Amino acid sequence: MLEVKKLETYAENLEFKMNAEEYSKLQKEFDILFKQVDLISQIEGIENYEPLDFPFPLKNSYLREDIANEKLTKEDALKNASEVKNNCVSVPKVVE
Amino acid sequence: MYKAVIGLEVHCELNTKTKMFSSSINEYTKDPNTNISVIDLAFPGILPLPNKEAVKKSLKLAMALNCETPSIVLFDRKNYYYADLPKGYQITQMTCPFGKNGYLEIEIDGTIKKYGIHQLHLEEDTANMEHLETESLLDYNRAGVPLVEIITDPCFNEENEVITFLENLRNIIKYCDISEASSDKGQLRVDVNISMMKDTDTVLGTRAEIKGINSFNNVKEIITYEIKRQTEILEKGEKVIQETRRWVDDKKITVSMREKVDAIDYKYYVEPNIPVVPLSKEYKESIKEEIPVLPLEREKKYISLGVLPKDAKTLVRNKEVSDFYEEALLLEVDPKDASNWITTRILGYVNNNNISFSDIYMTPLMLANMLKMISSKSISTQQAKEVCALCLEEKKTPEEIVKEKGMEQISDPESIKEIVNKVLNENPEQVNIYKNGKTNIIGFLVGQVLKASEGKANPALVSKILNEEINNR
Repeated sequence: MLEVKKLETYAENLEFKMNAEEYSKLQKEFDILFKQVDLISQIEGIENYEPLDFPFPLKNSYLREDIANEKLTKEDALKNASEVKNNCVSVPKVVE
Repeated sequence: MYKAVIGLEVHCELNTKTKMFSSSINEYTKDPNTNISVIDLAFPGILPLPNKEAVKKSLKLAMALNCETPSIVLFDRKNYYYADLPKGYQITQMTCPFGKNGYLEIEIDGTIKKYGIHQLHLEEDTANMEHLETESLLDYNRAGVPLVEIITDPCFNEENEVITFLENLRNIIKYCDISEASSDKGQLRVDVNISMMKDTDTVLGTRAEIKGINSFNNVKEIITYEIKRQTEILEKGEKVIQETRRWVDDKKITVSMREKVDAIDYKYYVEPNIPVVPLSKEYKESIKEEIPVLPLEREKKYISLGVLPKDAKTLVRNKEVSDFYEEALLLEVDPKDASNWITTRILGYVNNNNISFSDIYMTPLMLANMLKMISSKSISTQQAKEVCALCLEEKKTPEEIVKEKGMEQISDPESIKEIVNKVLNENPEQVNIYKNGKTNIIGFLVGQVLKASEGKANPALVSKILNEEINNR
């Protein structure tokens, strides 16, 4: 089973905090996950397969031409913001 | 004795017409939240479409910096949560950057030094944040602007070397038409990594990183400050902490922002919303062919043409100036003469009037024509200075000025001979005085010829022909 200490390091590196109950739950979830991955690794010849980025081979040569054609109005852009100041979205300050 | 080991991360916004993954306008403006689309704001259901021009420009820069380039376009997703990043992740390149293992050659104190480029990759810029007393303001105009990041090897030891490198890099970026690279507009931002080590050390010391520096002057001040700060820590027998620091400009110090920066886990993975696009050899070749002759090569060429090394440097410092000179060379001007006129008179005018070189009226053809008038002795060098100044100020061609001012010198021997004989015929008494041995009367006769030609006759030729003609009588 994955050690809680390791999970704590991961949490710190990902910049979030968890309580003891959550760690215990996560430990159990990882346990199930590891068992499933174990099953996959038992498939014969699995080592001959490359990691998969896309579910099927895709031949694509499309890159977008550099032509401007979409724009939101300032009003639309700021419509969903809960607070607006000087035409900017205002958010709580989190730096010193 | 400690020496500094410095590495750089240079971020440069590309001058494409549209953003990296959306077709909203990529343009610097002071009006917040005006150049944005739903993609830049990460509305649900959006899909990014990579900008072809941004891909091309990044590859061009990678090639100009002698990097190895990949055979596919592949993006990665870098996950982190901050208000300047609406998607909660940044699309960048890690698995397959556009440039690897490159270098930039720079002339420092007469010798060519090679500085390693570890990696060059293409990504999207974040929104701009302004921090007020209790809140932060977000302008999304910058969100999604194509951004190239150039990471150097830790190959610098002192601040002057870093500044020369940055100036050369900026010049190459401009020569390749990748970016305006203006620090004032935040288009070029530098992160500095710096550590100290002893000559006998085999491993690098613990480094501090100073992020988001937008002036070369500050880069210099920061390095000087950090070298002093870290040396003092080490000399006290203490340890330098690995951290990100921030420059406080009014106090001229760096302060700690965050420790253990390398530990942040960004959970990189291949960006699933952008399928891989192959880059053919032919396509890459066509990009390579678009790279212009770069400053160092041009400088060497100019010196080989007899231009003074300091003038050659001046000519290549601005691509527009260098292109002007190149065009003049094609018009078969004397390389040294053209260089002199550009570096003194023309650039002098540009600097005194604080205008851009591209705004001057004079063209390479006008310069070439003016130089031809000097070499054919149609006008004197002194007159040419006036012609040059008037061409720049009054926006008139040298030919127009010479005509208007009646400056054209008469240098045709036959025409001068004609005037000389007319004057001699009109002044038989003075001719007799000369013949009787008072040869200094010739001065009076030269004056009469010049007067008759309305000051346009070439004085040296007048003197020569007058002597010949009077002695033939």
